[in-house]
Amino acid sequence: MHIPDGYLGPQTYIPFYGAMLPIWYWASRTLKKTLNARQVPFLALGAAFSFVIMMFNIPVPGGSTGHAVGGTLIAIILGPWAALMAVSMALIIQALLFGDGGITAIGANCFNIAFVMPFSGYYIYRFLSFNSGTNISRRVFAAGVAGYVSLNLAAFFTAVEFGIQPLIAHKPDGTPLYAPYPLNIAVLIMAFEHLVFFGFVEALVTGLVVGYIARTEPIMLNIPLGTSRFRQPASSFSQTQSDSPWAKKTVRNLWIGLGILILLTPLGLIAAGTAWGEWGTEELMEILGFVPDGLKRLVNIWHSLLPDYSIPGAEGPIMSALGYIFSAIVGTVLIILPAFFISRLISDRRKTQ
Amino acid sequence: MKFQWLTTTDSLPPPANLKVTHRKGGYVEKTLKEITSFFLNWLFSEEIISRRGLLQSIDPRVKVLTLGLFIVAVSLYKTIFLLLGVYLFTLFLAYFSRISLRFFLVRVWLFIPLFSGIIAVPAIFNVFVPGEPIVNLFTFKSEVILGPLKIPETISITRQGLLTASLFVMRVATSVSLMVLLTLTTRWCHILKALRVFRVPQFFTFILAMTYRYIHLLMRQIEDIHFARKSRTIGKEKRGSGRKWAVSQIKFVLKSSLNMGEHVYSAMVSRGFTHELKVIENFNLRRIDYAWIIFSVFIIAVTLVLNWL
Repeated sequence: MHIPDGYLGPQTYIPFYGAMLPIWYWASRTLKKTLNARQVPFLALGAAFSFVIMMFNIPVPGGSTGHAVGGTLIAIILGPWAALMAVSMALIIQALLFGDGGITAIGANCFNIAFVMPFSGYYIYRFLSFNSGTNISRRVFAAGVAGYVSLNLAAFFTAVEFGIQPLIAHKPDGTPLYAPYPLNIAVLIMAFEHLVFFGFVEALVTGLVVGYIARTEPIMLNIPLGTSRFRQPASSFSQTQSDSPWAKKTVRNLWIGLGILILLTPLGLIAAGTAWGEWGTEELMEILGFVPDGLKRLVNIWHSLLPDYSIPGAEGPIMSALGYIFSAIVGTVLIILPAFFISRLISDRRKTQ
Repeated sequence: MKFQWLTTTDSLPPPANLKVTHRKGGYVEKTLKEITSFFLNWLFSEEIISRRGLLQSIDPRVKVLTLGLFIVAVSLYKTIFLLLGVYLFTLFLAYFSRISLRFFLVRVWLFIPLFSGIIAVPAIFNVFVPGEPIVNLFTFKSEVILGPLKIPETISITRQGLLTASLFVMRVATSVSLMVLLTLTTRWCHILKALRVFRVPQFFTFILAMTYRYIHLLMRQIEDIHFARKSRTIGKEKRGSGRKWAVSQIKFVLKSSLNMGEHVYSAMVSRGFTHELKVIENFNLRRIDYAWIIFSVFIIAVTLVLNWL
């Protein structure tokens, strides 16, 4: 997600430097108030940690490995302002010293990875774990969701920055000068990668590390020590060896969260209008005045399955709510089944090897 | 001899039913590999910095400023010829700075420009970048719409597509070359000192300096942790146990880095740190620095004028 030099034109990278300067200034002022003189070593070590967290490859279900960006994890532990500074410092060092991410793109990279990600992640975590007290599973769930959503938000911003390049910087004959792909393609590809793979790695790392901290050292998450019902593991080694129940619990909670989300899908009925970009032919008719030919043909194919997320023939608000839930279950199963079979296939092959 | 067994070699063949399997990949090996390449990179740069070449002898402030201006200029060029020209110029600079060209090319092209080149390939077709066709590849019966993509009747390679792909790759490669030249010939503490001269607040440069130092320390720590894991792992790991282990180690490194922050602060205070930083700055630009400034500003100005003509 680190944007190198040459991907963004000056029309894009200069405004991002402009946006980051007041943000950095504000962060250093906020931190000076809350951290006073301790801030320098504190932030330096935080930045060093945010640099090295990307070194930790962890095995991902399905046999692959991946690493997290860690912006949300650091924000949950250190707070969003300290995370902003720590991740920015790590990004600057990566750019100046290792050529990972461009010099001209430092502003944009810091905006996506050091600002959008920690702040969105931190507040999603705070919102979902509100009043959770000693309920560790809810914190794990909140951290996982925060990691997933915040990484995808950061990727979305990155994709938009790429995608606007052909629009704002091209030669008179239409040759794009910088990143060549238009907005719809850039967003589609970045969203696909991050929704399907990298988002889950981030969720896994953020959720599991927060859960581990909540169990071993709840004070780091501001969980009062005396009230916590955490169990101190005899040692981290013994925990990794035995199939500890908390991992199973985490998985169970993820399933519960998924179930709740499925049950909540009819909420969409209350919302007025349609999700942006998800217009049906009727809405497009209203917006554009015409329906593009190709879309018309596609619509006929798609409508043959569950039309408008409801069961054909079922009328009335309750039935359509049930239709939504049914569609959500079908959708979830359709996504989970292939993933399950692929992971089984891979692990079986490993066994036979 | 009491310790004779120490000098004898074990010549027994391994039992016939022993199966030795070498697992490739794996998260521990992957992490160790990345850490090793981090330290290797650092060692290589240290060695090149101490050579007596052109860029090594230029004052770091001048170098940061001029190479930075070059990178900005590269982001402004609209023609491929200017990009190629500056790219050749970086090769000359590498040669005169006693960096072996093979090392330089590998360092630059792996990985960012190569990756950019791969993602730029589809852009040469009129599916993504519409324009005047040069070569027609296939013709369909009619237009096909695939999600957000509109595939035209005739798929062809366009002039605009070829141009945008080559502009994109050359721009990325030239910027990366300039950056690699800077990092291969300048010490990190000198880059920081240069940043101070450009009015980057001390608060930031101080954190950057400390961060760099502790990255090395934490890297060593992670390396030790992973070697310890590797050397104690026999057979197959249980599913999920590696994940739990990695998670617990992330927390361990996080905790130890926060603790260390506290200790470092106490150590600083006890050694007389008064929240004021003094940086020793000795300005002495030599003749070669002035010559280099004039030369590079001249090149940047000429290329920019050519660019806008």
